[in-house]
Amino acid sequence: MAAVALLVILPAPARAAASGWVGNRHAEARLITAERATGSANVIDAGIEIRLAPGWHTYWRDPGAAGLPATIDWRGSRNLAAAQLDWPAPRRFSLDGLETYGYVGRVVLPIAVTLARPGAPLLLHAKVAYTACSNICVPLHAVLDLALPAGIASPGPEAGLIAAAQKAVPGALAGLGLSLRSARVSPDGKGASALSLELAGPRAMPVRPDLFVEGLPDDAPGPPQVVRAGAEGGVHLLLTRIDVPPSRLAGRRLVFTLTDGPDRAATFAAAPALAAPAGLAGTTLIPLAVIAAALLGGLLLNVMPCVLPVLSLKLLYLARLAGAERRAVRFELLATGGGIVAGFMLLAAGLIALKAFGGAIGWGIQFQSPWFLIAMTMVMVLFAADLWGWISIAMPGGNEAAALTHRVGGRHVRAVLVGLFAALLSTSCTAPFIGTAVGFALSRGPLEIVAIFLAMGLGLAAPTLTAAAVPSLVRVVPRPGRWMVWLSRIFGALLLATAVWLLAVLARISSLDAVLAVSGLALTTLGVLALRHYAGGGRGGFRRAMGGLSGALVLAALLVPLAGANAPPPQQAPDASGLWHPFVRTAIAPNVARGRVVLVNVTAAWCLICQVNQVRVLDRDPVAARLAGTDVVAMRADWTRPDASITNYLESFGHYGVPLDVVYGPGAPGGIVLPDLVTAPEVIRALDRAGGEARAAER
Amino acid sequence: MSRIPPGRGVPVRSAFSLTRRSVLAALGVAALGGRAKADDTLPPLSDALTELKPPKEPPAFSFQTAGGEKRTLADYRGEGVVLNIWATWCAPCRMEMPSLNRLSELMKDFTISVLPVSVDAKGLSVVKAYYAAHGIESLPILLDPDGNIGDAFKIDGIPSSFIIDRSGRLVAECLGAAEWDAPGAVALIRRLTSQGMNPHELPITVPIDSRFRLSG
Repeated sequence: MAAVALLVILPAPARAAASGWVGNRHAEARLITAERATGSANVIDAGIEIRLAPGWHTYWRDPGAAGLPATIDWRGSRNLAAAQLDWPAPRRFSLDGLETYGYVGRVVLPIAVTLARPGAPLLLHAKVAYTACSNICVPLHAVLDLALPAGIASPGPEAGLIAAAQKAVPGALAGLGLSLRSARVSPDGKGASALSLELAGPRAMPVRPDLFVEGLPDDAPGPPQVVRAGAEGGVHLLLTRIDVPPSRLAGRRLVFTLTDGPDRAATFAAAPALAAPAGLAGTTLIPLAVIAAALLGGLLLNVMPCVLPVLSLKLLYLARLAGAERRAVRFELLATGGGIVAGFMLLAAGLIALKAFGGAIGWGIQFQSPWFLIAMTMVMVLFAADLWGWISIAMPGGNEAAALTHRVGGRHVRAVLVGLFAALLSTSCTAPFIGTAVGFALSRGPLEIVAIFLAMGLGLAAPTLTAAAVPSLVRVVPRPGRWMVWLSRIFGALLLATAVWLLAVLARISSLDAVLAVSGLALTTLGVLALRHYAGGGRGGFRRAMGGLSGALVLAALLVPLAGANAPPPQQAPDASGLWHPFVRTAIAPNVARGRVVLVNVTAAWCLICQVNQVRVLDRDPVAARLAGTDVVAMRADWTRPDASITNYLESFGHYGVPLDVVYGPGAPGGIVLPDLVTAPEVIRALDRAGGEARAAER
Repeated sequence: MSRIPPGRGVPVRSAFSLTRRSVLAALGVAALGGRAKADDTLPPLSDALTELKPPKEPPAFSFQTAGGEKRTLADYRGEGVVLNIWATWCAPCRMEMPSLNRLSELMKDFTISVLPVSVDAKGLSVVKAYYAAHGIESLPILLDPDGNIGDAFKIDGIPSSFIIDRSGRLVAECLGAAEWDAPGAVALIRRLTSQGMNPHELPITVPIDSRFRLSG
């Protein structure tokens, strides 16, 4: 009796819910089901499990540029009405420019098996054809049999594998908290297209997005670029260099699979619209958020080191006025505020003109021009001379210099100029939010550029304008006295230091002769002004002559570029540490394909934030030690001089200025964009993330 | 800024990936549309190849031309043969096809035939499309849609290549992709296939330093 009872209970575990493994030493497959018996359900969860040796992979339903997906022939099965095969989210393999999609290690392809007669026994007979590749490819054929008896369904040991695989099948976009805002196709070089997908969502952007596109004729694009890691949530992905003309992609139904790490994935379909030509952009509305970003960015520029020397000049002039009447102070402040806004309008006008003539545009590009650098150098020298009292410090004696200063509006002109030059110099810095605002403006039409630059100008001018509204604030400044003379000397020295810095930048884009000429002219100007001040005494003729001479010297400096200052500078000494390699965009992918991590550092000699990043983080340990490793390639792109390839690279990230630091690696083939001001832990983390996943997968 | 990080006092260019060569190769990719790219990662033939000592009799096999004619090794008697088994869906096979294409051009003057046999189940249409899209002009289209040739040679996977000398013996095999058109590879193939050759036709043993000189 007991023996009979045992017989009834025991057979269940003995019934396998899996076929044996069939394959070779590279890859094996088996058939599994979630249940041990057919039970009473119409549909039974089953799966094909493929096990791959280390270094081997098999393919997704769309294998990409090469490869074959698994196919299953169910003929010979009994009680099978239908079998629906599903595909877990793939990962990407980049082999020398060939992008393929598939799986490594173990993968279960879940199958929903519909029974012809529920409750009756089931015989699954699957002829599975699939391919596995490493440095060679092997076509595999596995004939797999699995019989499920009739009876009460109870989960088999493989039920968990199938459930996990079903969860790995990409779901709807809403499951990732995202929705599709736009899908656009635009031309990207000769006969090629770029696809842009904007996904909106309340949550933070995907951490490590990858995008797979099905339905492209004959092309498998590389990993996407994350154009904007929107603070407002969502993500903007860009696929470039798709080898299909835009006209063939516009309106074509494409199936996108977005993955974010191994556990999150979604599939959605979209027919991209042909992006409107750039000229029509004038009618678009500017989101309030961008205007706010521009205002806030401008405001933050006030505390950046680039404008501090010039704006502190303002404070000093104000201190001199401390005793003056409220109205005069107010005018002075308004004039400076106006100068700042005018400076930004000047920048906007320059950028619009450049854009209209097809020139490269960007934040701070005026620093790439020797004319600008020389002009600013001379302006700094003149301001310094002014602070030192060599030009026109208000002398109560009523001599000529004082007359000059007090000429109608003379003081206000100076106030305007302070604002103007502060604005022009401010672009060698970038502040938080500036990137967003500038990126938006420069990608649109003239209207947007003017509006956003106006907002930035108002942001930078905000403290000045606030003080103009409440002039009593200025009364806090102590009365003029001996301290002011010292402060004037210090600020004058600071301005001269700025001039020296500008000359150093000039040395990077012009010939040494030009730099020497400008330096000489600047020093002579300073000398002439000093002579005029100290030796001039009351002799009007001598002072006039010296004043004229200094004016001529400034003009002469401005003419230096005509004398061949644009000649290429002497060959830059190679980076002595051997850490940094020149930037070659096409060398990124091959290095990543070989499992290396690539850091691209786009910088410029005139970009103060870039210098801060280099000195504080990139060129010192622990980052430098990490970059020195053989598994890391550090590339430096120098945007000090105009360089179309670097401008294009910046634009591909929606950036119109430096710094830009991007980390690529097997774990982030599309690149991770670092924040403008980097910190060592952030860089290390990005390097780990870019390299880590592949390393983990290989072991 | 130009501080030397620890352990980097000596030039480490060789340990670095971005050597002058790879930069030039990458530039070449941009300039030549992918030509130099594959070469840079393909292993040299001398590393990938296994010489068979003594040489073996090749198994019996056949394949078809694009026109549907059946071919066997007997059709190439007296010639050296580089037989390559490949498929359009096989990424490593595709990596070496441009190199085989150039090899075929280089070998024209030496009565050595380069025979890539595709085992694509879809046959002629996909191979033809692949040749057209990738500028493969010097290689013949040869097909074995049933994959019999792989069974005959008992290959482990594709690409698999075999070198057969002029007397019809199997002298070397190569599993996986290789750089077929490098000067060293060309010399090696000429040496391996020279058995059974008229003595005064034997290749010169002076290393040939330029593939361009060969073709010229």
